[in-house]
Amino acid sequence: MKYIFILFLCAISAFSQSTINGKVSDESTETLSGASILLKSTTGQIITYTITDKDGGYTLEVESGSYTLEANYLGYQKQSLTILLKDKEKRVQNFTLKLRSEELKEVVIKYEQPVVLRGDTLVFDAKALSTGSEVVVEDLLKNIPGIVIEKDGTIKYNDRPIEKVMVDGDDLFNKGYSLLTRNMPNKPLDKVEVLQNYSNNKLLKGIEDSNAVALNLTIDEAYKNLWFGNIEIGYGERNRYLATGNLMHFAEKYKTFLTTSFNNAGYDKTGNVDAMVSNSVDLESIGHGYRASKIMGMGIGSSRLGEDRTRFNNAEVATLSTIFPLSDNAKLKLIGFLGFDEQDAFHNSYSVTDFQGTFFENSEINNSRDKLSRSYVNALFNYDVSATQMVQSSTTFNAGKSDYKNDYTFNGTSTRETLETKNTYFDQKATYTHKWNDRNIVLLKTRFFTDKLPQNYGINDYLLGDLFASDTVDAVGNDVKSNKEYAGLQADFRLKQKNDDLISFAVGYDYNNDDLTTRFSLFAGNNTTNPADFQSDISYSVGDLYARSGYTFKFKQFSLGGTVNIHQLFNRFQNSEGDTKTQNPFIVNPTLNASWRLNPDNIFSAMYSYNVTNSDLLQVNDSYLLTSSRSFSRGLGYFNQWESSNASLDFTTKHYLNRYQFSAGLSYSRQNDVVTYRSQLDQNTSLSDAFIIRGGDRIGVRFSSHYVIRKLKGTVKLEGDAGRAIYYNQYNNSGLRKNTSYHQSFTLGWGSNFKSAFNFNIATEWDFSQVKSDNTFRNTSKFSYLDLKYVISENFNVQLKTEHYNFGGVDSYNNYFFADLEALYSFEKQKYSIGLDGRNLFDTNVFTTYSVSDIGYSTNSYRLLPRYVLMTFKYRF
Amino acid sequence: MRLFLYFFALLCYPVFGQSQKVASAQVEYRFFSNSDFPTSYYTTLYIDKDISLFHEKPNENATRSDVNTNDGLVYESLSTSTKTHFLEPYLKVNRNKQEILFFESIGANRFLIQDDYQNLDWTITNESKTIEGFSCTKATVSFRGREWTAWFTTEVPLPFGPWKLYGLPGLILEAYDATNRYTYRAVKIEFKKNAIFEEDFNTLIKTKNKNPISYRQFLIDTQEYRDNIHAEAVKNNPDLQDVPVPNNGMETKYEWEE
Repeated sequence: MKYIFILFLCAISAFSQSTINGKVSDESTETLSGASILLKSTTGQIITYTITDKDGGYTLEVESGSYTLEANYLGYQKQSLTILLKDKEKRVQNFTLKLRSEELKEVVIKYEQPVVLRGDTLVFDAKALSTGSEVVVEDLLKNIPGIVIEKDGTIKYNDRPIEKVMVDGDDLFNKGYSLLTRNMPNKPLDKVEVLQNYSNNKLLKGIEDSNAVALNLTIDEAYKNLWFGNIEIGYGERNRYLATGNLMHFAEKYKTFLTTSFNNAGYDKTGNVDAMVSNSVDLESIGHGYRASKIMGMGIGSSRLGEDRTRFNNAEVATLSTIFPLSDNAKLKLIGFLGFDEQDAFHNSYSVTDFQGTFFENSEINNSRDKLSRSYVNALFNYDVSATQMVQSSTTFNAGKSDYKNDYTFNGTSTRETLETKNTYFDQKATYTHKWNDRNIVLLKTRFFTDKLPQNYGINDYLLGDLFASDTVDAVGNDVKSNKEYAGLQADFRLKQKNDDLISFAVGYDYNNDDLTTRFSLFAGNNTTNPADFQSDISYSVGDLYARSGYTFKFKQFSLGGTVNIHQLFNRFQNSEGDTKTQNPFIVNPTLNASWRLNPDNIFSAMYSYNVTNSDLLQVNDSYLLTSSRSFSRGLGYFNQWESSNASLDFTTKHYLNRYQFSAGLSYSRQNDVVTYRSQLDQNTSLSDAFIIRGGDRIGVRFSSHYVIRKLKGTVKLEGDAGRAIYYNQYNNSGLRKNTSYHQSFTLGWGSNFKSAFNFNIATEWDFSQVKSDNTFRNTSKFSYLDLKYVISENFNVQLKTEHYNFGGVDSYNNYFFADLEALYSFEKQKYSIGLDGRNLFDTNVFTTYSVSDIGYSTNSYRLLPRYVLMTFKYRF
Repeated sequence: MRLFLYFFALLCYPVFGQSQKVASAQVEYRFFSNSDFPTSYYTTLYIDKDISLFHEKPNENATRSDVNTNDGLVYESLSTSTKTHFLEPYLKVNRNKQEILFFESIGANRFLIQDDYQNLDWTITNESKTIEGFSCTKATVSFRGREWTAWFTTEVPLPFGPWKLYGLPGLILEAYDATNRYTYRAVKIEFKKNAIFEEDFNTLIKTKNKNPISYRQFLIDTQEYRDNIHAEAVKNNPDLQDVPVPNNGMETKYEWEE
């Protein structure tokens, strides 16, 4: 009975809905759409609301009761009235609103800012980012959208590799930051800052257009004495071992990083070190690329294979770097490096020289050991004079030595060669930066360095044939002293214009002085002969007063830019007899580039440059220099400059969703006159004399494309390039020879993009080259690889890399297969990991390549590191 | 007598003609995104009768006040960077036509997109507060995966707000989601009609498409673009690791995903 009553009540209430509708209009009877209608309770709470439609009408459904009904529209006076709705009543209520007479005034609302934005710096809290499962910094950074971390530890933000990872504003690693992100625990992190539009020179910020990004980690006050690092130990068959240790200490004021590595497994652990040690990133300077000339070069040539297959080594390396503040405005960074290595190599070659009137064959066997040692010390000093001025100074001292011993067999004759090379290098750079207003900055750079590269060569036999008329020579020696001194000064202005364009120009003076003394000796018992024309005692100095500037015009989708380099040179050459020649050429080198952005997916670009190059020491030198076991080369004896021009055209198109991308380019370069070498070749020796002849030209075309095939979940890439070059030279008694060389290469590859644990990558490259001169020599080679990757779990993955090489030519069935297997298992959140590294599983012992030139062909065989399996253990603390 | 009335009405017409201006406003909001990369910039909402245009300006440095950095960091901004990195898009809500149009980009290409017009089901609460003299009431709504709170004032009876938040019987002065990740705060209100309404919305930004594409299709295309970029990167570097990105944006779930 009770229930029926309740049901009855409910039924009644369901039917007691009332409706109010109506129209809202203004006094001119225009309806007002978008007016707000509010139904409030008698205490002022909003029960329901609606907005009038395009005809100004509204409908409200509500329970019966007593309410206030309001209509309101901006600019009009609000109207409200009390209404009493009975059950199921359908009320019609129209409104006619009157205009408001007062003007509506502007309103400003003030709030406190919860997030402080400092220019391009984004600051966020490390604790907030953490989900609790991270252990090292790299784990924490992975949580950020926009950040992608590659297998080797490279961090990319929005597809752009970041410049560096700093800790409290200090950088110890440059591009070697993965040592930090993979080993530093994330717990002590307080904030992670993303510095966009980052400039290494902080005063350049805002003036230089930079898209670079850097990260800065700040450490929580509580953790002001951090020690962390890792150790890796590996051991394998044939006594191969690997031991690496990294130790980092971050204290309140000091930051120190120590890394050591020992291995005889062919690993080159100095890669990361070079990145750390080069401080051209921290300090903009001048005099790049100038080094003392290295006259004698030995050792195996480069081959198609990676060096890690041919490097028989025994290396020890240690680097220590530390940063500490000297005062509030000054900071000092010290880096020391010490390295030793013993590199063995085994290399055979067979060459055929065949051109008009000349034919001979040579076979050479090289069995060498090179003992290397190197030490390096650098001090980088930074002083903030004021908020707009900064002084930086870098002092470097580098000493190295290479002791090269080679058992050299030439056409059956066994000999022993030694080449000792030493290097001492001292470098002092200083740069003063002054930002005199928001948009203008000048950098004053100075630099001084000395580079000494003495070499001492000896061989215990005489292989030089008829070059020197003597039957009794039993040894040959060459003593080289090559020194360079450089001093330079530059003022580099960067002025940012009102329209955001950057005008930059620089003026400066470079002074290079090279001294070269060589003593070439023939030993016959106790007698020593020093043949004339084979000794050197020269001095070459070049003073370069230069200016350079550039500007780019941007107009809609076009941009046109150019740079020009002007040089007034003061060349001075003093030869072995003490005669001095001078020359003061004036050089202008312009470059033009243009681009047309048809739309975001199609871009054309073009470039033209004209270049005049000044002769270098070896081209000016007037006597024969021994450059390797049996080759000599002599320069012009006088100065020369030669001109070349280059032009290129490029086109890129891509699908707007990146389904495919295609780019093609055409390039042409022409040399007006060139310095080339006229060589006297016979069985035993090669004597080259520089001379000037007409230059040749080179034309090339290239294309590259990739296409994503969604159905197959993979990407196909197809690339190719082809070119033809014409150049001239002269050998023995030939006249001027015209040589035409063609090359074509194509690559076809397919990479899978499965979302599963398994992925693969396969590619093949064909290379074809042909050189046509008196004879025609051709060469075809193929290179293919197949990589398989299986990620069994987050902590366990396996990779198999296989390669195949094939060289056409003499023995066209030369096929080489290589396979490397890598497996890594880590546990306890990668605190410990065990790895298995199997190299050269097919145990390929020898690798022979084939190459052609315009006078013949040669095969080169290299002994390879035999198969070994290395077991590694890694521990992080 | 009637003639006189008609004459009077005619005279008064120009006066009533000015009612064109009354439902116009220009509201500037400060937007805070407390996401993994915190950012803050200004946005402007232009209103004219039944249409609103929402303009985001992420490129201008939102540091119009003095910034004190005394923590030793040297990256002080001595000049504002006005380089255009990001798209400064517009979003149009047309209440009468029930249409939402906006601009978005994929890579360097811009697109005109049409989104589904929804009548947001706001719940008006009893809470109220005062913002700069305006009496505001709190309302909440669940929209595309986020719970939004809006403080609106009936003293400015315009049914619009920042971004895609509209339909309340008053201008929204403050809006934020339940996790406080995204916040809009009105900092300036002017009552005038901006000249932007004279222009054709579809041509405000140069787009690849002439006709609007549906938002659903656009999201499918965006995902394909991301997959293709990753595929290209993997082709060049087979060791590349893909970090799955959780969707933490303003919209985390769509109505068609039920």
